Amino acid sequence: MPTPTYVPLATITLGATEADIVFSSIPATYRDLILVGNVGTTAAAFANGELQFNADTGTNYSRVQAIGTNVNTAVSFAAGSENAIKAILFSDDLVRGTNIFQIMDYSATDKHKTVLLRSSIMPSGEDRVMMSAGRYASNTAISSLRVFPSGASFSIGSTWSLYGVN
Amino acid sequence: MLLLGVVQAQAVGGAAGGATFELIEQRVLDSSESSVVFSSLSTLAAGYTHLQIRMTLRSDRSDTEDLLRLRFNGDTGSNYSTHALLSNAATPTSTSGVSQTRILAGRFAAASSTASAFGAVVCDILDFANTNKNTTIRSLAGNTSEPRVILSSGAFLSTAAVTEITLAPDVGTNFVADTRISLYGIRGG
Repeated sequence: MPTPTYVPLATITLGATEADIVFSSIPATYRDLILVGNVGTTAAAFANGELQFNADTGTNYSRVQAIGTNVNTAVSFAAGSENAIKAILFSDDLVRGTNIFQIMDYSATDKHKTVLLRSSIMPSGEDRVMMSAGRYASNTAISSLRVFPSGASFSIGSTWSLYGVN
Repeated sequence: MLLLGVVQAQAVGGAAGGATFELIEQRVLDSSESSVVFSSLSTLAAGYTHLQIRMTLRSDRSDTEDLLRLRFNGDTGSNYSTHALLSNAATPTSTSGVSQTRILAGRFAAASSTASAFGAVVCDILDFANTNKNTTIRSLAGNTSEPRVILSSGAFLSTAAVTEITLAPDVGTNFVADTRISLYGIRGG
């Protein structure tokens, strides 16, 4: 019997600027999480973003990313040496960007947590699209996540929604 | 900091707003398997317009990375095209192939990867039951063991409705235990 899924767990539209967003008390009921953002920041053009799990600020994260800008392409890789998945782009407040993060097997205790990330932003003259993969090197189930821009804050009206997928 | 506790009352009780995205079948491997097959889709996936397969994969290939082989209806002929935009730590590249015997729907961690590291793949199969068009797929995959992120597309050059999907490592022999492959149906308007 098919199981209806893709369940909205929490959503927020910011009424004030915020330095970060934390989703806590995430139940271990689902298989994957999907975090969707339509987001602006107080950055002048764009901001790099970071994703952490379970309040873990240790060097337990790795990433690989490919970016296309309006003039070139670039790739970047960091192997297990960072304190967050740093493979996210956020736009400025003029034209909000889109971010979709697929957090796979988040409640599993037999594997590390792999995340597929997509960011697309179109601040004037700084258009970028990025695809990334990140890994949180822990077999602990994810019960909280924190997302934030580096050196900026999320702007008023930014929205984040968290979904659970069976 | 804005702290949002997830509301348990929302979290328990299934999908809100109607069943448009449904889990059809899920395989979590207890032991190694050479392939995973979803069959009888004319029955199991009746009423859906599109399919999505969500996967965390690892193979027994003696390398840090393996490729994901996708076939439809047991067709092993040269009836597929496949394309990808991919990058490792240093260089973005692209690949393509026509008259292929399978779609390469992504890449994932293999036996030489960090222990407990699995690759992730999300693959969309569009209009799978429509007999007026070839079936196309789009897939996003990544793993930080190789490392690799890859956006793939492919086509099954047949207008036959898809009734069977076969997934397998393209180089290694088996998916290893704890590999997870989940098939979802998406209803159209």
